[in-house]
Amino acid sequence: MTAKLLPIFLLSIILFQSCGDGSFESSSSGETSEKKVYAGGVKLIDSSIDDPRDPRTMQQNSYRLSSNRRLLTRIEGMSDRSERAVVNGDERMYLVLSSEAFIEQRASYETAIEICPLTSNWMMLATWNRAHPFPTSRGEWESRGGDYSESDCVTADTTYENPNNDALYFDISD
Amino acid sequence: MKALKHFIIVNAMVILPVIAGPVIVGNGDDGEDLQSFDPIENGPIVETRTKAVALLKSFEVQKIEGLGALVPEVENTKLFSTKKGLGPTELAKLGAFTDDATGLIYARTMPRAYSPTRFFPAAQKLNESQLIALHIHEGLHRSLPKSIRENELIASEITQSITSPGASYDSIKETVEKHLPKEMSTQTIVQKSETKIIVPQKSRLKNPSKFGLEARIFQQNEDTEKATGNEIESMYILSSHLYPFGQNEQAVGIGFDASIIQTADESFMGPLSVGARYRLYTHRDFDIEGFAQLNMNTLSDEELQDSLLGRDTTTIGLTLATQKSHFFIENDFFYTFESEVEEKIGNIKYNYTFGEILGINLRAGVHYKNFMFGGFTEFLVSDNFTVEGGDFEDSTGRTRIVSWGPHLEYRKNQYSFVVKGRFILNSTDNTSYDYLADLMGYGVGQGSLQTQFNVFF
Repeated sequence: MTAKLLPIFLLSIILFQSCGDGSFESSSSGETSEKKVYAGGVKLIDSSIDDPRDPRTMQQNSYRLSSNRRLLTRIEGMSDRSERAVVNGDERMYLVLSSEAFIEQRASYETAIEICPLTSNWMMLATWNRAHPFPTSRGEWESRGGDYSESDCVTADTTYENPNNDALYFDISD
Repeated sequence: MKALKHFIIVNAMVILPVIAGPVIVGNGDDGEDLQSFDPIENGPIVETRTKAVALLKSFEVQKIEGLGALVPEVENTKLFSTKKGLGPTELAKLGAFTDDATGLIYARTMPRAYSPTRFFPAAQKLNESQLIALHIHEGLHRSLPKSIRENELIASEITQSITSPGASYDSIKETVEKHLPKEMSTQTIVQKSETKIIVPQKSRLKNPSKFGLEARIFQQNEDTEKATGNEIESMYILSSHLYPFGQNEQAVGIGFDASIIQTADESFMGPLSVGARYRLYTHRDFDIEGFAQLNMNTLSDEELQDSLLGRDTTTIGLTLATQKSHFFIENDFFYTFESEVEEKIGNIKYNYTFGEILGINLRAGVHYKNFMFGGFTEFLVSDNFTVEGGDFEDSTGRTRIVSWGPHLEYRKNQYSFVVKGRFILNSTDNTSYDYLADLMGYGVGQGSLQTQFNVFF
């Protein structure tokens, strides 16, 4: 998945409302129960950064996004857990981004940030131009900035009853 | 029918004038009568056997064609003596023959390897030198070529050539050669010509040991740094290949190569190589050598260990080489085993698996005075390079890399200065040496320029 648009400081989290395993962090608020897992792989791709190992593109506490700076994220091992994830009318899956910047300008961020499903696999050496640096036919993105399904992009779910003002919830269940 | 022979030394040898007389060889038993004899464990017969072995070894008779088995035969034969009271009639039943002149019987053996030697009462009357001669004589009956081992005259003559006061290696050899069957002599000559190692004057085998310094300047491109994470500009190698075992032609060499890596910003320890090389066979001026090389990153800097280039490689191969007065040709056939290395990028550990490599390297050159001009071409087929980590997996499939390189060498006496190169001529999907991950072997990027200074000894 890729998060794009607008300058922003953010941290990515994914949330399950489903049965999880021991690695999940659980919390509840009112009638809502959340089970969270943090994204293991987060990589910034920037049209001005060509070095796939540039330390600014990984393991940062926050990332600034813009039209030419996107964030790739993935829940590693998701394929192992998918059989235990239930998505239906009551149990939904959300990608959660958090930043203190959301507290004051929440409305603008809710529409400025989109979460899009990637259509090409990538690794932590991905850059704006390549999904990985190795000499295979799948090394280069078909479109610079990452291959994703534009029609499936989602914006923040403003109906979600968010107990914290510093987080935006993106429903990625469908 | 058991066609075993036994021998009676009624006249131990020509140098024993006291018991001189004709030699008799008769049909004998197959050894089943050993119960009629007692083993000899000490005394003059045992002591003189030791002296006979020492005498034979002093002449190095094992190096004389036809006498190769004489020393072990004398040294290891079991010694027996007749039981007391064994009369002439009983001895005759055992196949013992008597000397027409004296009727004395000294010893008996059978004309086959490892047969025991039986001593008769008459042997107790022999002095030390006679007993030594008797041991040698009996040993000859078991160790000479089959067609002549039963010939008492030949055994006696050879015994005399060994035990006479003026005996020498050459005189013994001359006596033996006189009696060797012709077909055996011919066969021996043929065998000698086939196994004779003719090492060409300029062959590496003449001065197999080498101490050298090498510098490699790599031809990098942007992709190399992106893939490997290292902007390696050059590499410096200290080589010491020594052949401490065996003679030059049969030397076993063990070599070490230690390297320093130079990047744009820093220098650090590179891979360490341990190799061995051995001449397996030489035929018609062609040397066939086997070699093995292990390139390890154990001592390398962590920056290198935890990268795409951090894998260890093990290569085995054969070299077929010939050196003529004006040119040389060397072909290498080699195989590198599959291996892998791990790199952590961000929070994700990626495992790089490098498939096995099959390679052919053809080197050739011409000599002109102290110069050598040549080059190489190399064909590599590398199996799947796979990247796997987290939920990501991708592989290159089988990769082909064709390389070439020039070689210019100036050599004087035991010193040489070399300038050579290694460049990729063609490869699948423009694959570079990075995806072979063998810094010591192929280097990185698109190739390298190399200079070497070597001392041979």
